[in-house]
Amino acid sequence: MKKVLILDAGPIINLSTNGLLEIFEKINRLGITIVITNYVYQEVVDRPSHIPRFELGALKIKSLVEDKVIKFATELGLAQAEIESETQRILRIANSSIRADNHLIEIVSPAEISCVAVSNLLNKRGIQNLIVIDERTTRILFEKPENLKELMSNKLHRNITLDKRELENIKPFKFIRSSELVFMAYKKKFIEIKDKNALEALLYATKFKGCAISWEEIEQLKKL
Amino acid sequence: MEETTHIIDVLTRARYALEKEDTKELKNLSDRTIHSASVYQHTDYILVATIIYTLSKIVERKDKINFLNWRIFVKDINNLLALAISSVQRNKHGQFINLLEKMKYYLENSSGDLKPMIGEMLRKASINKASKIYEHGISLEKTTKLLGVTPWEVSEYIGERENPQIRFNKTIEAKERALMAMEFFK
Repeated sequence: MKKVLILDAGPIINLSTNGLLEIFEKINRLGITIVITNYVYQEVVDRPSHIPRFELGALKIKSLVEDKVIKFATELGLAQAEIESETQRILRIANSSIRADNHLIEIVSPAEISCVAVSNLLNKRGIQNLIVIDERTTRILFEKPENLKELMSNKLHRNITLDKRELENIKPFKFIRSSELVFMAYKKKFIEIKDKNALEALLYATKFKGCAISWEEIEQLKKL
Repeated sequence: MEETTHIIDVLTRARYALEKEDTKELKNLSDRTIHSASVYQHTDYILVATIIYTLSKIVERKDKINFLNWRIFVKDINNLLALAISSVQRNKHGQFINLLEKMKYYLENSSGDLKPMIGEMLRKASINKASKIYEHGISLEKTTKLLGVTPWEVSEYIGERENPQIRFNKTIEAKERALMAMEFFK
């Protein structure tokens, strides 16, 4: 049965800056298709290609796309128009769910929501899939939106309201982070480092490159 | 109305803090603007937060970097801040934005040899503000679009900061998520 791994920009950047992009090639060999959307491609290749500091990283990712290690979601037979329409639909729902003092807050952008849209379209076709996303807002919004409401109330010191009626109709999605990706890679012996502290080092590395994982969660993963 | 009063208060205090070379107060004022910037996501709040944060960094380092004509710099910035306050009071929103852009341009171009350094301070201020807005619950990509920076720059910055709100990140058990990953890749 076909399995699809959907990547947001964060995990690609995370693995690139940690020198771990080879994990994607090894995942490919398991027969798993790795996909991105046009929005994500813009974030990981188009924009950084013009910034000297990130140009090399962008070129390495571009090369993975050219070699079909990472494919565009359209190569799964999804029409671009369908992905776009689903992205806009979910984007509207997500950005209508949180209000501060009765003012709607735009919390997410098309880039991360396009991953959710692709996942939803694949779910409807019965294709098993997993979203890899490091930034927390999207993940919390779809897994436990009450936490996002609490977080925003805490930070903004305003009356925050959550409307999750429409959100509940488009759940559930399966999310993992770079941390779980490197955890899996370590357990599958995709990582060449043999040191006993390799797993710990990998998990710390993903955290320091922006993966939303706590020290406590890292400790739990180390014990598994 | 409340937001207008707030922005006037922030700009007025910023003038005073710059005059007094009060770095801490400038940073606080920049952070105070982040609440509004997160909710309304208007260019003006974001620019105010970035400019004031950059001013705090300039004040912090002005002696080390041998900032020439400091008094003229302070006078010019404070004049622009006064005009900005006046434009908010008169509800001239377009003029307010123009003045903020002018202030940013002045910062980027006023200091001769220090131009690259101040340009870098402005860029770092944008990354700092992006990380703050992200902390307020706005997604990473959304935040980077608002600030005109890339997720490449912000990811590393947020990774190095300890987030006091981390407890809200936990939605399912780490073990459960790891097992989900292992099952998928079986």
